[in-house]
Amino acid sequence: MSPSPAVPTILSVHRAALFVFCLVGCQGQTAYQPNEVEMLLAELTPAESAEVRNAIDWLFGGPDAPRVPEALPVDAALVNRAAGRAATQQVGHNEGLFRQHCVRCHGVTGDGRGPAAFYQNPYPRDFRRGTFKWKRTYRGQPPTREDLHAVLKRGVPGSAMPSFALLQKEERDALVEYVRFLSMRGQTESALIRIAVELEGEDSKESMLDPENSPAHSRLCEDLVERVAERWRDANLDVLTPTEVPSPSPESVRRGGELFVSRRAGCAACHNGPPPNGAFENDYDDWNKQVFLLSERTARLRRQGPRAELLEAHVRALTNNLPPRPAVPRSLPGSDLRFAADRVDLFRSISQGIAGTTMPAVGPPSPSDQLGPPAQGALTPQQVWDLVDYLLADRSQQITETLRSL
Amino acid sequence: MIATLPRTETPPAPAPPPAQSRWPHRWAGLLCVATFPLVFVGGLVTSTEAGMAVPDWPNTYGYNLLLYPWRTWLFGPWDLFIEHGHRLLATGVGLLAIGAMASSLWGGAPRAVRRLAALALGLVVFQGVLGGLRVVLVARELAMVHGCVGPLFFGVTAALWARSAPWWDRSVSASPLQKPAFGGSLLSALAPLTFAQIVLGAWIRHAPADPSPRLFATVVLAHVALATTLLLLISVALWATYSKSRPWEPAPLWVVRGIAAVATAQFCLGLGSWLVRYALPGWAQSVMGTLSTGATVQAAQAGGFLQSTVLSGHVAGGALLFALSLVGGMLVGRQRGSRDSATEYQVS
Repeated sequence: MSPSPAVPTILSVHRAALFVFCLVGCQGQTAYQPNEVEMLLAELTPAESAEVRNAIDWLFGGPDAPRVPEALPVDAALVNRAAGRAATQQVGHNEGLFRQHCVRCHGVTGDGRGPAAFYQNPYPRDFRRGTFKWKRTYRGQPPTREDLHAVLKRGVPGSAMPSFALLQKEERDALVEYVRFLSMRGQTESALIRIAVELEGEDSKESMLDPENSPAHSRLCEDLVERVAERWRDANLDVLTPTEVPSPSPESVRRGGELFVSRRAGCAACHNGPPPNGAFENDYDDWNKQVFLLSERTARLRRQGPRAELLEAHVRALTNNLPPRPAVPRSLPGSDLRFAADRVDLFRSISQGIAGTTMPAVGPPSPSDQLGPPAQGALTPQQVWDLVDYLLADRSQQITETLRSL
Repeated sequence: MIATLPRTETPPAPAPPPAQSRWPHRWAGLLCVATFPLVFVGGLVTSTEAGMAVPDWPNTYGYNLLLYPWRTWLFGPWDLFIEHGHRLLATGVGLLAIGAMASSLWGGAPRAVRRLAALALGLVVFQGVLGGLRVVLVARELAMVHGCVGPLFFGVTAALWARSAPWWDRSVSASPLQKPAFGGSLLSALAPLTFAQIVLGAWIRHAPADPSPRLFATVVLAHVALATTLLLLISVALWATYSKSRPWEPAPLWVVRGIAAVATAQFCLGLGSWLVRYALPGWAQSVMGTLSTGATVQAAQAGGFLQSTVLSGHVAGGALLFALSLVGGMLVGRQRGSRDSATEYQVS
């Protein structure tokens, strides 16, 4: 049976389209990018970097076909729904959700280096550290699923992070699960980088990190994953729930105003200090700090001669794309509060600090993290509530109280 | 014989054109009017990330496009409603393009009109295939090309509408001896520049995950710089229409004013697009921080009414600006041609 005359036409149209496709140039990223900053900070050789990359790919697969290690407390079906290219196989069941909604800012790897990141302030979140600002858990702990869900649903006011309230709940669930997956993957990668440094001094055969062919290394990698996963299990996450929520009063606002400018709380030093809003030179949040440290180290190496050329080129590419920005605390009182939906949210942010930033905790750590007798925070819960009341008070009242306390 | 004519004598009026059917112009108008909402809905497809809501093409979930159950379409998921609606609208526009082609062939339209109608038909077919391949090949990059060809097609339909208009031939002899117009040169340059701006905008909207943040930022800067340049050019062209020696007569005047109005709205929509998509840039936040009232500005809603409308409005506004610029450029070209032939006649 000879092909119908329409077939060559369709084929040539396809060819023409493929030509246009190639002309446009980009097939879309189909590989997770290595954590170059940490690799450079750890001074890994190119061969060691390749080993780490192979090991992490062996453990977690690629963005089109992620592999979920058994130890990971994530739903593999949801991860698979969020990964890969955007597609729909049945009405209303969208797949490839991460690439559809998140990749433009957060990047395929979740490293916060998506194409649209440059002009955003703050930069999009780098999930690989597993550090999230807006959560209800105690300091040092990862967020719960509900915390990530709340950020997706509400967005982050004052930043480019929009609300995804219009997505179906199952779609948000899939995105939450994928973000957790990327975080655990990133933390495992960091651990592997440290392992690669440790293996450096051993004999030549054992110094090669090769989980695919070495049972010992495969066990080592799985142990690492298990250790990372342990921190993310629901049972190990403690949500800070205030025992009582006192009502605001003029008196609590007054006390909060006094505390705000006092040396004890030290809030005004950053939030209402000398311009710009008390920002300190070279004071970076955790995400920017690494790039800053790397560029500092490169600057020192540059002075030592040409041996730093390769490193310099790498670092230049990294810093040119997203130059490290010093932390600029919000100007308080008066500025928008990014993610304080209610008084309890603000209480948590003050009590436990904001993870990854220079905002410290003033409340006690999680009871499960304390080995000895119950620890006290720098401020009592009542004092934290006073600060909350002061920050949420009517602005004219805030100004009056600030002037009075000064 | 001609050389003996006095130099001041006006050239003889051209012979009245043979009576033409008005149907090609009517079809072209209908096609142009129907294409504008198609461009807007195309923008909605991208703004609401609905491009892959239907997995197959030219069918919709295995159904013939026109036989897809209307209840599922109207009451199903929003992205399906947008994507399938875009396909249905595009089918309607394709049929109108066939109608425009047929009427220009059988209505005795001039050759230029027939060529434009053929170009429009070719483009709409190409555009449909591009859209289909974008789905079948799951290629966001083809969506980028699709986003550029859409406004181009709309521009061609506008050109077809203008070229087939009865006033096109009537007004050509209205003022053939006017001075060369500086503003006219600017107007001729607008269409290619606007299209370049559309290409940059399409790249920004459909950027794949590969490009570095710096490259993306550079393209955004180029888009802003070109927008500013266009606004300046349009301001000068507008000023020229109000100068004493008006270089154009009535048709281009409304074109230039229309371009100025659309460009202004488009600039505002462009700023709005950035705001609803990426919020205030860092430098603007520090300025706004000093003006803050303390009220928390809620985060934009991804795919929400405001975001989708502003983004799609910006896409449609770009297409409208391109179409008006194209028509304006054609009118300038027509007057120049007419002036040149008149001058040639005088000299001879």
